[in-house]
Amino acid sequence: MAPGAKGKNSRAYLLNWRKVSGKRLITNDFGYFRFLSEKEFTRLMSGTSNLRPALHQDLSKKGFVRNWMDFDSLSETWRLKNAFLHFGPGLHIFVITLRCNYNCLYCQSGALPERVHKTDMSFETARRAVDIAFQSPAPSITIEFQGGEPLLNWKTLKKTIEYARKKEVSENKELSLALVTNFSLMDAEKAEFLLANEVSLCTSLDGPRKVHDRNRPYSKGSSYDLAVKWIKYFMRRHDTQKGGSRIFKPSALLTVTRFVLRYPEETVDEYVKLGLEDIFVRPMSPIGYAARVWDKIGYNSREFLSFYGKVLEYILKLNEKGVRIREKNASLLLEKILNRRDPGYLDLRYPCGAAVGQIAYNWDGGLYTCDEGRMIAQQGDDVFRIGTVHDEYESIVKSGACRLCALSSNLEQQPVCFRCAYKPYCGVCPVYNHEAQKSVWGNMLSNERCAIFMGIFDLIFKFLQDKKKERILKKWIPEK
Amino acid sequence: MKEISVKVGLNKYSLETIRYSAYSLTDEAYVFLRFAGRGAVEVKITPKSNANLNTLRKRFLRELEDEKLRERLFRENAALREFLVIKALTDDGKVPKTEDGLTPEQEKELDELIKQVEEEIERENKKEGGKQVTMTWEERYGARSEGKK
Repeated sequence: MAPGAKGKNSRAYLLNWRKVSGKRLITNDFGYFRFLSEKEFTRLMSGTSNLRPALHQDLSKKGFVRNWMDFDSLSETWRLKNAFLHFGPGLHIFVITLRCNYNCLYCQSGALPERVHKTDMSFETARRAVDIAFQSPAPSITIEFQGGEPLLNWKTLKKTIEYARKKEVSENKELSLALVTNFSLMDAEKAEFLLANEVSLCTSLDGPRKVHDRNRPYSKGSSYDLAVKWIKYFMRRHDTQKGGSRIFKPSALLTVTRFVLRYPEETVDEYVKLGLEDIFVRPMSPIGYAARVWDKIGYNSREFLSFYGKVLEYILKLNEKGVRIREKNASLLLEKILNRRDPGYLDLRYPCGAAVGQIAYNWDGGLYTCDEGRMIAQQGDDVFRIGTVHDEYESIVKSGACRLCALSSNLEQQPVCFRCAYKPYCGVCPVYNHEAQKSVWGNMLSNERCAIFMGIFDLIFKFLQDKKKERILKKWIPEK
Repeated sequence: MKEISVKVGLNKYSLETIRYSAYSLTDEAYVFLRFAGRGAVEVKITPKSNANLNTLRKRFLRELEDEKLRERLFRENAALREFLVIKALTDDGKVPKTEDGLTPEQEKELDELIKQVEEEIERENKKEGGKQVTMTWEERYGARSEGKK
């Protein structure tokens, strides 16, 4: 402990505050939080001598009282919370092709019709991309294949997986492989190859059939049926695996369009029915092509949060009955809030993951800060381009776009975020700001992404004040 | 065009506090600042839409108080915060290995050296009639105010 005596009037260490459900929520740089009554808050801010001993002790332990700080323990907490600062990009997104056989209403990726073969990534480009990915100082890396629909360029995908696995051995760096697919072109042969190479599989599941098929039209049948068929297949393979290659559980992503908003419980039920234990309620962003149809399928933050709240309440009710299902946004945030650890969520940290946490490799060899930055380039705006697969790793991470994103996503320099109680757990998106507010810095006071996350945080901290809900939520994350 | 003007004394709030409080209204209003004489700032608030002028004024005044508190807290803790962040970034979180640290002989030698220095200081203090430095110059005589020569 630093010098100081409890009897003396010691002062508060730097903290932020916000009113949540009638209480003052206070947080600090180390990720600690505490709810205070108005009276307790006033006492803390005017000197700590009048605080109850138990409260004083708790606040001191959490680094809220400047004369009673355990420097070693607190700096260690800060270091672990921000451990990602010491690593390079861990996520490498390969856009294997821009072609797609679906016509999803919300498609942000700028997918092109199936016949336009010129946007397939060549193996030579993919090989160079793998070489760059392995230059990252991150101790383990993930290569995520996506598109368009990546299975439309199976030849390159297959060869790249084989090459990356060989590289993993020669470079002695841990490698995870992931494939984001709509499953429409999956067959037994491809499935065997992917499982043998320990590729984890992720697809979209936008709720009940009527909503999913409306969101994701497919000319040759029901996209819902295909997604469900292959989720079941890979789930069965996971459940019956016997040694050999690891088979991961398949996962699914929910993209919330206006049509999904009416079905909070039915959507969760779809996930539970398939044995999926996580539902990631992702809001859409008016980025790329989605911006053009925003008036038809979009919504405002209030509408999204109303849906999100219903989903969360319903999940907690199911949990009470013993059903295993979690909401992914909440579980990622809970890991930050309760365990003060970085769960590797690149969208909510500062600086954001752009180039320093992830790199998007376009089919033509162009490199971007992230997939969203790549989508914007698709429309002719190259502001988030960080190089090509022919460049050296060092020049990529020293690129102007990388610096721009690191600066503008630093919450210490965002006036509203700097004062926000959710700062220790949050992050801004320069690409979103650039698209929605015409400045990478944005203005959080009128920023819809900020409003959505603010609402999610409010809900989580409201639930954490309820003993019963807190007990359930704590089970969503690994015990520290 | 409807607008409202608020005069804020610089003796009560710093310019930084006024600036951020003004910024915090920019979702609903345009805010213009200008000096009103030497000791005050005039804050002109023009709603962007139909926001109520009085509500905006109250929000601005509330924000001033809030920001004043934040500014004080930040000022008081800036150096300590910097120290903690530097410590977090530079400590590797590991106990130094024996070969990187001092050998037991070196430690013993260092302890003896420290003991000698301490004894020497004590002897010097006794020579000066037992006078010891118990407080800093600023604590004894007060800090010199900025700008004075």
